[in-house]
Amino acid sequence: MKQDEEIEMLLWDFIDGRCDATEQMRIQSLIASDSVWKLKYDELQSLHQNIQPGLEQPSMRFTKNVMEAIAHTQIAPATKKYINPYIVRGIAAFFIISIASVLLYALSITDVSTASTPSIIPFNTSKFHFAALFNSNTTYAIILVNIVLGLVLIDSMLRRRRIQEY
Amino acid sequence: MHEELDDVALIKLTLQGQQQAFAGLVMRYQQYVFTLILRYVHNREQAEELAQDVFVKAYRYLADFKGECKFSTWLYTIVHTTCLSFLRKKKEQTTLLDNDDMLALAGNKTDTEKASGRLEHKSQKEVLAKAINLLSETDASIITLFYQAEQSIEEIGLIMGMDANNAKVRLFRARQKLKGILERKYSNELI
Repeated sequence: MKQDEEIEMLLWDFIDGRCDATEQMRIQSLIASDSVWKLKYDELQSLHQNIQPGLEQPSMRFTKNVMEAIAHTQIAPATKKYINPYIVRGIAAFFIISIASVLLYALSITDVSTASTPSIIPFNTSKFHFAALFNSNTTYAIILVNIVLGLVLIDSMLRRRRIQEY
Repeated sequence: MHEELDDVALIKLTLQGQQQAFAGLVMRYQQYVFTLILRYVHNREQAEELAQDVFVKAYRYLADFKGECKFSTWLYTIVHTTCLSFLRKKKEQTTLLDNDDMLALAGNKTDTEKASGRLEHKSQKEVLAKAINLLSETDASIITLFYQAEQSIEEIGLIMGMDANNAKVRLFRARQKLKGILERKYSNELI
């Protein structure tokens, strides 16, 4: 039965014109030389030619009914793509800045001079005064940037939702 | 006048505000849409109501048609999703014949039975319509989309939300079932 199905599948591809030139020639020669293939091909080709179901006709008033229905309908503006790349980049920037800030702050409060194992950082970190970088003003500035980014993102999301509802 | 214009031209005119241009599209596709919907709902009144809904939706969202596929493919996608939503709400019972049922009906199917080759031309459409009505909605739609609406396998996949390979297999199975129905159930009506 499975071989039968495989033959049918190949013959349907042949009838539908979905074979490449090599496959087409191969199937043509099989139909010419093999009686099983020829019989199957004749059956399927006959079915294919006879499947022409008629179209059903709706009522005479159909077009008029549709036009009356759309008379008071407005064409909606084209919807924008669901995923806005600017929003994705904004969210990424927000998280990168937050994570970078946390990492740098963690580094600033770490005392590497008391470490028993040599530092994996290739340069002498004691020369850098991380604490000086992260005074209260710098921290506040980073928090402010993050808040502004967050507000911009919320605003653009709400704007898009309003447009979609319209 | 609108009969001479192609789909893209009619869509352009409609989007410019000429609502009457949309009537051209309705007249061009109403039979296909109605026939396809009948494959799902098997009731003319309901099919006509749904067909009307489909065209209203197509009008409302016409600006979203970007021309990436044929207008007919886009329209039939709306048909498919509208019908599925309707059936989900209605939870209609449809007659399904899977392969096992088909084999049981067919009994001892012989290779010499060439029912399709002996179809009498006059009753051919009636016999085919009856046979297609016995298929599941998906199979009946695929047959209609392929043979009636002249959609390619890739377009059928797009309309029905499946990949092209899956659509090809579904078409193959639908043809098998249709052949079985014609050979077994309607061989008495054939010459």
